[in-house]
This record gives sequence, C-alpha cells and structure tokens, in this order.
Amino acid sequence: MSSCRHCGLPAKAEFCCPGCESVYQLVTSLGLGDYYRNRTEAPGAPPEPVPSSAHYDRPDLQALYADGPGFHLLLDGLHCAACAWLIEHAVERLEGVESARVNYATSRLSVSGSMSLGAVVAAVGALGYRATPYRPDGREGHSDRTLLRRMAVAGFAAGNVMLLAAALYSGASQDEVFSRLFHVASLVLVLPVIFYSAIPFWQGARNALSQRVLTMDVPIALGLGVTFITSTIDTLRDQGPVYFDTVAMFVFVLLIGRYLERLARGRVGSALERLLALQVQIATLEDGSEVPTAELRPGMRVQVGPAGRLPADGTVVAGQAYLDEAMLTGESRPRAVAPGDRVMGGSLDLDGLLLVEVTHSAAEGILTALARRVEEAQSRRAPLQRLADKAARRFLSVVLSLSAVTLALWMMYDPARALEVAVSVLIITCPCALGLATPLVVAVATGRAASRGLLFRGGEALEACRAITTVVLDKTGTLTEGRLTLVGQPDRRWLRLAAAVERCNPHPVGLALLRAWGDEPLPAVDQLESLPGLGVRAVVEGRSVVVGSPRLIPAELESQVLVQVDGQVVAGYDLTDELRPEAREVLERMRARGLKLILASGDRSSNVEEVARRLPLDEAYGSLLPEDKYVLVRRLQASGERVAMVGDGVNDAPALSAATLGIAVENGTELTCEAAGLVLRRPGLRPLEEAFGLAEQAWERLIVNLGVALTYNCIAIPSAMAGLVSPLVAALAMPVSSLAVVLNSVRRFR
Amino acid sequence: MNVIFYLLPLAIVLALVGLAGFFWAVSDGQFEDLEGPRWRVLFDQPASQPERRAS
Repeated sequence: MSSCRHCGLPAKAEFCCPGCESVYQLVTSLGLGDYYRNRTEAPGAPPEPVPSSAHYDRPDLQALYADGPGFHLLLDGLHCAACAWLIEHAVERLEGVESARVNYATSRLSVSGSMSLGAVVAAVGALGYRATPYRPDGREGHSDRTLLRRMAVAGFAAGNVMLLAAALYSGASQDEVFSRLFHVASLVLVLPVIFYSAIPFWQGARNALSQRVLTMDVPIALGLGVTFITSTIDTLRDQGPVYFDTVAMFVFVLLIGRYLERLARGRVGSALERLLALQVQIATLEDGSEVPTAELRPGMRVQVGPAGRLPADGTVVAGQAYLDEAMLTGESRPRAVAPGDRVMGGSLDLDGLLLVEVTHSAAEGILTALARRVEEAQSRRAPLQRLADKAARRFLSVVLSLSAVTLALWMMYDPARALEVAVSVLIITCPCALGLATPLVVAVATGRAASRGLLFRGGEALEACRAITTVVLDKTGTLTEGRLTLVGQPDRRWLRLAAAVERCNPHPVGLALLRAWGDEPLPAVDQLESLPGLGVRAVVEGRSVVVGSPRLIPAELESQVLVQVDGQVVAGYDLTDELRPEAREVLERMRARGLKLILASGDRSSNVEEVARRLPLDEAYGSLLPEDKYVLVRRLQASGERVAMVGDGVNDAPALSAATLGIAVENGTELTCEAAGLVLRRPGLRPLEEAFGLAEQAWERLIVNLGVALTYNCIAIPSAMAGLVSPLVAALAMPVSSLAVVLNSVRRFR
Repeated sequence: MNVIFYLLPLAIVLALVGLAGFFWAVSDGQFEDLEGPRWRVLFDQPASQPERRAS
C-alpha cells in the first residue's frame, strides 16, 4: 500500500482520487514542485471540489471587496508553511498580479494588482485551498502596532536612563554639575514614557475606577504616578532621591508582558465578518439570472444544483435532493427533502436540483440570527474575575495602609524624612513582578498549548479552563467521529456491488459503504444514474443494481439503505455515527476530576439516549435547537455552575459564546472557532483532557509567581518602612523579583 | 566645557535614529506575521519562472 502523492492518504495508485491528481499536476506544471519537498505535513484529505468562482468577477462583488488595487482573502486549509509559499507563488503567476503575500499566522492572503477577484479565488481553489474574500476592518492590527511603538519608546528611554543612572550610582552624583545634568536629562527621557508609553496603564486605571473595580492597572498607575511626580519635584528642587531609571524600566518590562499576552490571544475578527465565509454571494433565480444574495426577498424563487449551498431560508417548490445540514444542526445524516419541505440557508445540496421559494431575506435568515446571537452572548458574558485582579485589590489596600502607617510613625520620629520614606514604600512595592506574573505564564502556557494543537484565546480562557465545574458536550463530531459507518458485518458479495455503484457519489452514505468495503478493487459500472433525494442506479457486471432509501425501494426490511439487484432486494444496511474509541475512557477520567458531564445534542432523542447508555454522563438531552443549547448553558450558569461547552457545529455557536469557556473541536467552522475561547486542532477527545491538564499546570505556576511577588514585598516593604531604600536599592531589587517571575514562567511544561 | 555635554545629546540622537528605524519597520508591517518569515527563508525560489499563466 502506497500513499497518495498529494494528500498522503493510503492509495492504491500514485493518487487516491482525480482531485489529488489534478492538484499535483497543476503544482508541478507551475514549477512549484518544491512544495512537496518542503512541506512538513500532508493535507491528510483530498481537496474539496472547486466551487465556481465566476460570480466574484461581477463588478458589484469586486467593488464590495476591493481595497485599493487589490483584495484580502481568508484562507482555509493551510496546514504548514509550505502551503503559504505555494499559494504566494501560484497567485503571483496570475496575469496582472503585482504581489501576493500570505500571512501564515492569521491565514490571510493580500493580493495587489489588476487581476480579477474571481481569478485569485479560482487559482487558490485549484490548489485545494479555499479562499473567501473579506473586507478588512480598518482597526485590525492597529492596536498591535501602537503597542509595539509604545514598547520601543519605553525601551529606548529605559536604556538611556539606566546608562545615566549607572553613572550617577558610580560616583557622578558627587559632582554637582554632572548630577544636575544627568537628572534633568533623565527627566526629559522619561517624559515620553509617562505621556506616551504608559497610556494603556492610565487608561486601564481610569476605566477600572470609573467602573468601581480594582484591576492590576490601578496599583501600577498609582506606583508610576507617585514615583514620577516625586522624582520630578526632587529633580527640580535638586535634592532628594530620584527614581527615573526604575520608572522607565518598569514601564518597559510591563509592556513586554502586555505584548506577549497579546500575541497569545491571536487576532480576532467579528463574528459577522466570519459569517460571510459561509454565505453564498450570488443566487440563481428561476429564470437563470443571478442576483447578489443580499437582494433576495421573500417570495423570490432560487435554483440550487448539486454541491451548491442554499442562499437563504425557504420552502422547496420543485425537485428532490439530499441536504447536508450538519453545519447547522449537527445531524450527520443527510436529510431528504421534497416539495413542501422547509430548508435552511447554508445547507449543502448533495445531489439534486431544487427550486426554492425564499421565505426570509438573508439578513433575517437563520445563519444571520445565529451570528447575531453569538455577538450578543459575547458582549453579555460576565468576564471571569481574574486572579491577578483579585490579588491587586488586596495588595493595594495593604500597601496604602502601610504607607499611611509609615508616614504616621516617621512624623513622630523624623518629620523631615517622613514624606520621602512613605513615598519610597509606594515605589518599592511598585508591582512589577505582580504585573508580569500573569502575562508571562499566559504567554508561555498558550504557546506551549498551541504547539500541541490547543489554541487558547488569551489568559481568560486559560484561567476559565481551570475553574470549570460542568462540561456540556455536543454529540455529533465531538463524542462521535462525525461521519457515518455501517452497522454490523454486511455480506461482502452484495456490498461489492453496492460500493461499486456508490463509488462516484459524494454522499455520506456512499462514503460509508466505500469505507466498509475497504481498498480491494471494485468492478466497473455502466449507465450510472443518480436519483436525487432517493439513491443511485447503475449496471454492474451486466446486473442492474439500485442502492437507495426505502422510498425508492419498497421492502419489508427495516433498513435505512437498501440494495436491489435485478429487481430483488438483497441487502439492507443501517448506518450510525460511531462513538470515538477513547470517549468512554476520557469521560471517566474527567468525571473523576469532579466535573459534571452533560450531553446536549440536536440529534433525535432516541440516538442521544443510546449514546447516554454507553457513556458515563450525568444528564443527556436530545432534539435541542441552537437556542435550547444556549438556554441550557445559561440555566446552568444561573444555578452557579461554571460551564464549558464543547461543540463543532454552527448550531453550537451561541452556546459556545455564552459558556464560561467555549471549546470548539477540530474541523469546527469559522463561526464556531470565533465563538470559542479554546480551539482544539487535533481530532478526538484527548486534546480536551490535555487542555485541562495544561491549564492546571499554568495555574500552579501563576500561584508560584504571585508567591514570589509577595515574598519580594515582604522583604522590600519593611526595608522601605525603615527608611533603608535608596534609588540604587530600588533599581537592583525590582529586576531581581521580575527575573524570578520570568524564570518560573519559562520552565518547561510537562 | 566637558566632552560629556556633546556626547550625551549625540548618544540620544543616535538612539533616536534606531527608534525611528523601528517605527518604520512597525509601520511597514514587519511585525504582522512572526511565524511565516522564519520558514520563508528555508524555501528556495521556484527554479524556473515559466510564462505567466493566463487567468
């Protein structure tokens, strides 16, 4: 058994399917065969059929997405850096393209030149990736750049001020002229740090105070403000301790922490922007003319052919077909629809031609309603009270009262130095280590997780993961494989004929039969005829074979799929979506951790009960609509549970975004990943368990970090109260505590 | 006057040049993708640049 030269799946010949072969031919004919040598990972799946991209050449759609002389596209299916290389070079070969740049980190392609949008989408599609144009949000990336600039200014100032400070500490302060000069120069250098670099801390503190909560920003802003003001006054008076070096370094280090945390969060677009990827751009009307989907109105009739997605919600008027609604409902079995049935926008037509009367315009359809729900739930979710913020509150009250005590005691003992000493207490406790404790652990832990295929969206997700008490699981695609398999051991004699007939059918049932058959050769078929919504008919080895539903083949057998050979019903197959093999084991361990497990599925209740019998679950609910799942999550939260929701379908998206932690599993759609705080990029349930373990370790490390910061303060505060802290002591003590926090954070994770 | 009075501003001006360079790099988008470039250098340019494909 060899493997396919393109996708790497087992194949009998060089290629597993014509799709892979055509991609391979294209790549080598472009002179980009290096792709196959450079890639570190094969796609692992044949390319999807390339959907038509001609509609992107319409002037109205081109104008919608144009950004100067070019376009921006979201890419789907990138799996290693060689993919980015391949796409860039293939697109650059197109007529009129000036430059093509793939941002590997965010899976985005920017093209500039005079080419048409359709040509770019088609070229990327031909390579086996999917490209969807999007309109970049103007603010996107802007805040990252500003943060980098703030960091650079702080670093520049910190370097120079520390140089001057080193000269002062090593004796320059003895000379009156130099001392004056260096102090004034330091003041000038620190001004941009305070009035530009430190803006996030001022803003954070102001927001926190206006909302009457205490976050980490408040003690930081207080320390910064007090240190800067007293040092400035002392510089102008030309006497007393000056702490400018500490101020600059403090801001620089904290901004580095912020930046690392930002990197860990990744870039997030709006849910509605992502939704465009699911929506059809152009609908074909009854008379064959095309209109943008946005212009569809109730009452209009649209045509949908095989492999097309329905542009809007509606009712079938004519035609029969199987619809794949897995993305919307989570049901893996395709649904047969006939005239009179209601259908949902976004469902995939598997085989037949349908004429659908639109009942809701795209803006009122189910998909849009789901996306709205996601955005709403995200904005309403109460943020988890973060540990660092809790620590900040205690810390601030302790430091303020100790400063007051110091001031009072020194007033009795030496009134001249009282204020100076009280201020030094505030300065030395400047929570550098405390401010770094969380960002560093988050950055290291999320980076470590990402390399294992677990994508945490920032520190909130990491902290939430540890605090979870209840896990709500979706069935299809989460607990199960998300694809159909045959029940039992069928008679190979008939399976051979049935599989041969289904070989060219992209239908999930056909794929299930082919998988059950395996890799042995299949006989050739003649006169293949697809009966949309019913089944397939063909002639194999001179015998007439029909494979289809009971509606096509009336029989006494109670099976979902029947096989008829020469007019005789010879076999019936039942299909099921298999449970993942590790499901039981993993769920048992999660239960042993004290988690409550609840199954919530859009699937029929009978199927759900079947699963619930075989797995250690606390509760199980079937036939849930997306709205019901959302309500379930909120009800659990209202009863005091911290809920993690695990799911993959668009139908899970509202519940995912409402949950304390939304977890999207592998092959989740864009919208699902958008709604989730944690995305598992590897199949199965083991990554879920790993994520919980990693979050636990990160938490332990966070506690140690806070402990280090606390220990530092236990030594520093009494020294400051005793009046022993000079600018030199502060300049040495603060980096030491920060370094301890850094070292603890970057230790290897198990 | 001591040489330090010239050297100090000079050092700061030099550092400002570096800072300006960094600002330019940020505006140029060089920090947008920290993952791709480190792989990009490993891949050769395509050996042949055949005629442009008609779209």
